[in-house]
Amino acid sequence: MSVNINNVAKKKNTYDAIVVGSGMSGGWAAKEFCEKKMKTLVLERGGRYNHIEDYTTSMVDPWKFPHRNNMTEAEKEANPIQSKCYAWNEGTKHLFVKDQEHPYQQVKPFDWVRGYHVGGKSIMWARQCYRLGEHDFRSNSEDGHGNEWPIGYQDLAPWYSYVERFAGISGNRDGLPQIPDGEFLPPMELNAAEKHFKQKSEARFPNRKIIIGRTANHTAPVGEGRGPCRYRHLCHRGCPFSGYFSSNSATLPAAERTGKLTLKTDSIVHSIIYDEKLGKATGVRVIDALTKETTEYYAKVIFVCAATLNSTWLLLNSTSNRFQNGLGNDGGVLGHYLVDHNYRVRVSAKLDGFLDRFYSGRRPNGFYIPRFRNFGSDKQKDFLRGYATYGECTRSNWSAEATSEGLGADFKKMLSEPGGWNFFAVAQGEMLPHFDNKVSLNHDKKDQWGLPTLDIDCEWKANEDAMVKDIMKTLPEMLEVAGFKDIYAWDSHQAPGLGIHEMGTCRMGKDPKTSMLNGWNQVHTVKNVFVTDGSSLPSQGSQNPSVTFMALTARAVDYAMKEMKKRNI
Amino acid sequence: MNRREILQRLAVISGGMIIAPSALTALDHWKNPALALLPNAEKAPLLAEMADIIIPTTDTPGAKAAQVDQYILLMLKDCTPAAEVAKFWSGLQAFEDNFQKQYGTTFLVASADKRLEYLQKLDKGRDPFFVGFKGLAVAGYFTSEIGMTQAQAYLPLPGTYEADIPLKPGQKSWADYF
Repeated sequence: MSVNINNVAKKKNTYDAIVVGSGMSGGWAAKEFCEKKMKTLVLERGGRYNHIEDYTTSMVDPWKFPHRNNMTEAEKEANPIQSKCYAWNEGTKHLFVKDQEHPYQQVKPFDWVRGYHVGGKSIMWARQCYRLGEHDFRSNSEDGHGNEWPIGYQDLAPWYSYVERFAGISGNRDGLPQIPDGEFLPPMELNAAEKHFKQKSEARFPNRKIIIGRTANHTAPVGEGRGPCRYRHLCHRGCPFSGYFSSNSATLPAAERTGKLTLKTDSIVHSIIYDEKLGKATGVRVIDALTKETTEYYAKVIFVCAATLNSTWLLLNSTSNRFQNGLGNDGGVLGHYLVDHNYRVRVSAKLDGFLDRFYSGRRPNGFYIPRFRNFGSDKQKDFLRGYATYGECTRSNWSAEATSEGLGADFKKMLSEPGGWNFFAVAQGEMLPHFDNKVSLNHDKKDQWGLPTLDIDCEWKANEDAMVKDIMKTLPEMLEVAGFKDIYAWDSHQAPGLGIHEMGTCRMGKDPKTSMLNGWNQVHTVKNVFVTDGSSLPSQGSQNPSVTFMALTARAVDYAMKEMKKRNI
Repeated sequence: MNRREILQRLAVISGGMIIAPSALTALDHWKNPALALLPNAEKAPLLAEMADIIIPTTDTPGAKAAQVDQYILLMLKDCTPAAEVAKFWSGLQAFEDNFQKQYGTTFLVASADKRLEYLQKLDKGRDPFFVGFKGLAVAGYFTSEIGMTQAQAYLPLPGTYEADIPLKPGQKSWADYF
């Protein structure tokens, strides 16, 4: 009798595919599996966040926020980590975790920014999309840091095209090998000061290209009624016009339309169930975040897309007689080689002139300077790899002169009119993968569900420091030749993590002894488990990474389907 | 702007795209905090008069109309580190005492000429309290509804982005927000 009940329950909880996480990567896995007629279960640890109807702040006029969208001291104190994120304010704070509810240990300072809800960080992301270039797949082999990538650019190129066509990426075909061209919607444009900067700087430094950013804001309508972008630049609140790509606006609705999707929220995946006799995973154990009850779900194939550190946490917590140090972790590399982009350097400046030029609308994008260091003929002796730079020029407003001298009508008039041109930029440097930049489980410190928490032990090292010095030299010299003044470059000394580009810790590679996944994002030793988010990258490049996660995920699903047909999975 | 107006505006801009009304329920969540209960609320008239000299009514309403005093009290209560709050209030006390000493009367009952003369002196001398107050007053004004929609050009739904256009005569700053 009990056996029967168990069988019924088991059948009810059995799917073709399980996807852990509903963010950037999980949304793609869900869409691809569902469109291939697979009955797919997506497990999201956070709560519901329905497209448009849950974007409760998206149409709020700025003066209607209780503190004009400023953070309160009490909230900053209660959320010392999340509140450091540039996107955290009264209109978006509900999209970030509460620090006290989701503890971890900073063995060294590391800001771990998270969003636990359907769609994850794909709601609040910065939307910049750049392909990795051929050189990025070779850099580990060439300079000996990190392991050899098991795939090259040509393996991923068709999948970049595939995801770009669906996602809707705006950009110009610049013909630059650092960031290969893709399938783009029309580009946005540089404004007067940015065009001047480009012209003058490129004349003196021809290999430092200044281009319009490539962004997942839709400059033309995409797919089933998405966009176009209305140029409000309130993207982080969620867009009621579906003006940019998110799981919520694009991949999850596509999955939903197939009728094959089951999305369970408040479902924390505790571990992956490994069957030693079968030599593969059979399902996952899930804790209900609200009731703390445990349920098991089963499937032929499991995609781990929980975001870098949570995916690695899940594998580390999936122990069995066969895998005592975490699922697939025979080589002891799981949790190691953590990287984040180095965003320490900011540069500001002013530009005289062009006072007769202006712009209209709020561009959710800026200019971009792709990597030029250690690329082509450029060779640096003080550091390896390179950095990209993102920035924009704007005309200053009241805030620039708020405390200047003056009172009364003239002062008020001056503050109401557009001021001079300002420049602001931030560089994003590639971080070298190091074995001792790592995460591990702390079984002494449990969270509210009794689960072990993460110890994060990660720091900038000599190569990052040397790169910071170079950035502080190159950007100011570009501004100088373009006639900018009041040029300031400074090192924020911010900890890793705050770039919110955490990657590595479950890397791909050719050798199962030194990597977790093969070139298909498939766990070497557990063939029906795939990890396709940022954790899988052997190195990060200098590019904003989300479009790479999308391409890897779609490619991995395609491979998993073929392997299932061949009965290899 | 009320909820219905926003729905209508959305419908126009989005070409009739249906947006679930629940998307807008949050609008009702935020009610003005009980302003009378703010700490040091009795100082509001003084703060309002000071701010209105910095940003008077011209062809657009000034700081007093924009309730900059309430903004300052709220920022001091919720968005300012405790040490700076204490400094602000002791600075205001010194501001009042010095005025009394100089003019033999209080700021609030003094003539407009005397008030202006006093503020101009502090402004030119870059008095730290006054410069700090000015920063708060200016921010309070230009982030208020009046400051954003009248003193600046507010574009809630630009619709398009034009990167490089001639500045029109009389063009105000775009009210920037995030």
